[in-house]
Amino acid sequence: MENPNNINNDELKKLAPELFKLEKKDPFAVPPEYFDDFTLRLQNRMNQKKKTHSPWFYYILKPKYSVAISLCIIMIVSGVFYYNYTQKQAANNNDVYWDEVIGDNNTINYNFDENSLAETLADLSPETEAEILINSDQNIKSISTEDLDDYIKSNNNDVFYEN
Amino acid sequence: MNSQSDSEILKMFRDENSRNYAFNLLVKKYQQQLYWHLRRLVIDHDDTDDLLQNTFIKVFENLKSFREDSKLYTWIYRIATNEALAFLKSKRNKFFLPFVDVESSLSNTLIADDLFDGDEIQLKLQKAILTLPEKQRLVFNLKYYQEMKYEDMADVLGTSVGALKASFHIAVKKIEEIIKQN
Repeated sequence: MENPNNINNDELKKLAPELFKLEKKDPFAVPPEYFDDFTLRLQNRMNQKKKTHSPWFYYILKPKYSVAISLCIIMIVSGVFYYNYTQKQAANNNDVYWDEVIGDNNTINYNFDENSLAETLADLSPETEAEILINSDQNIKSISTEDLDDYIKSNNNDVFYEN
Repeated sequence: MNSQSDSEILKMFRDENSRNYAFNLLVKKYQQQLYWHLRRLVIDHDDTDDLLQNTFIKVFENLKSFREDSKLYTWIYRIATNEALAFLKSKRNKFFLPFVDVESSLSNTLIADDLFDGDEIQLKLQKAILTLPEKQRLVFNLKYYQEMKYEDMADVLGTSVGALKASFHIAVKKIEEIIKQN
């Protein structure tokens, strides 16, 4: 193959006379009819590859992705646990505050922390708030007029209650 | 059959009806030169066969998106070269051997290879080539055996023409020294 960009023979002769003397040939051999059969074997391999196409999870199980995938899984699981835990805590806090208001035997406990109640009610969703009010209505009905008077007097508040 | 130009083959490949035919033409056209290119790098026939098949599978999978920024043949050579380099790298990592040991293991493969039909001086030349660093070995093979243009080689290896000329010059000098010593 003549090539103007190729290192020319004179150059190679000067640079490496011993290498220049050697016959330039490929010393490797191939099995008989290797190149005649190659296309067919390639086709078979491609067909086989199509048939045994790996499922999606095969790719994420590759070692090079394992660390990243493991970290993601740990973060997701931790996130779920943390979310559940905070939700539970919030629910527990609400119960405690409400328990402070409604004492045993469905009577109002006057010594509850009003600030906590206010905070709790402010945090409640409108649906929950409505539910609590409906339930509390039954509790409030069981409170006697004397109890209410005592409560108003002791707290000196402007409270209006319509039955 | 091999008289089709690369651009004609590419055009046929982009048409779904003639895709398989075009791919067969491409394989026929490049299988031998790519085989020898890979064989000189990995020495063993079975490894070469495997790499050659991988190369053509990658060519098939990516040819649709080939943007013709470079020549088709340098693009195919780049895929083949990357396959070979990745193979040698995995071999090195597998045995935890430094670079020189992989080359010496290739040298041993060369000696034991039933499909090596060169004489003693050819064996010496191949062993001398295997003493070269990977990059110089690549450049030497592409220039000395394949007679590839430096510009095309720069495309295949992603290096400048000047650096390739220097690499080839150094490689030739080293091989000459080894041949002289023997």
